[in-house]
Amino acid sequence: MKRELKKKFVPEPSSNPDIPDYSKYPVFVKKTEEARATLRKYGLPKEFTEQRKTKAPKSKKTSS
Amino acid sequence: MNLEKYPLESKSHTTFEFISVGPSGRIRKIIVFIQIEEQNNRLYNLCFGDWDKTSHLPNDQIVSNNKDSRKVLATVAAAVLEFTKRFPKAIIYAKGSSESRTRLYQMQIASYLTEITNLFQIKGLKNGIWEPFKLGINYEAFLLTRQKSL
Repeated sequence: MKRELKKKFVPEPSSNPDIPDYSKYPVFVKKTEEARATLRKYGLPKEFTEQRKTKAPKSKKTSS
Repeated sequence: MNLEKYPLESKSHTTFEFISVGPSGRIRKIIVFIQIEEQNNRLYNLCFGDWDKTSHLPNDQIVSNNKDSRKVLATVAAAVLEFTKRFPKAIIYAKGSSESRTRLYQMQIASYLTEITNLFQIKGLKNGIWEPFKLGINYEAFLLTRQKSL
């Protein structure tokens, strides 16, 4: 009978081997899940959800 | 803000590291901005912790006692500035790993509120409502984004 071994967390390698992908580490995954839950519960302040005003492109004058 | 801070090493667009130096020795600190929602590429969680030499994992519960908390927080603030220079529309969610650490964030924000609000809109979460950051209120979490005019 095969004994199931407890899986040890091993982060996925990032594209650069010198830089661990910290976003995959459990402590930060958990914190981000908590942040997601808070923001889903309470939403964002409306000032933060409004689109930033951008200058409207100048309309070209058409000669008739 | 000419605060004393540690030199930041940018590991990627979203990851920074620095070394805290003090009575407890040299401690590697990690700051990561993690996208919170797949569908919203403006929302990021500010994650911060020490590199745990024993477990070889980041740890946000370690009390390092390196007597440099102001300098460390100023360095985290510098990382927020760097990150938002690159992603000016980012909205950053920040909460300490404990109530006392959230309070530390709050005290640091309060100390430099004028300078911070020149650059950022900042909100605090209180009883389920995001309100403009005010002095003397204990918030549960913070949200900040660059001022629109910048």
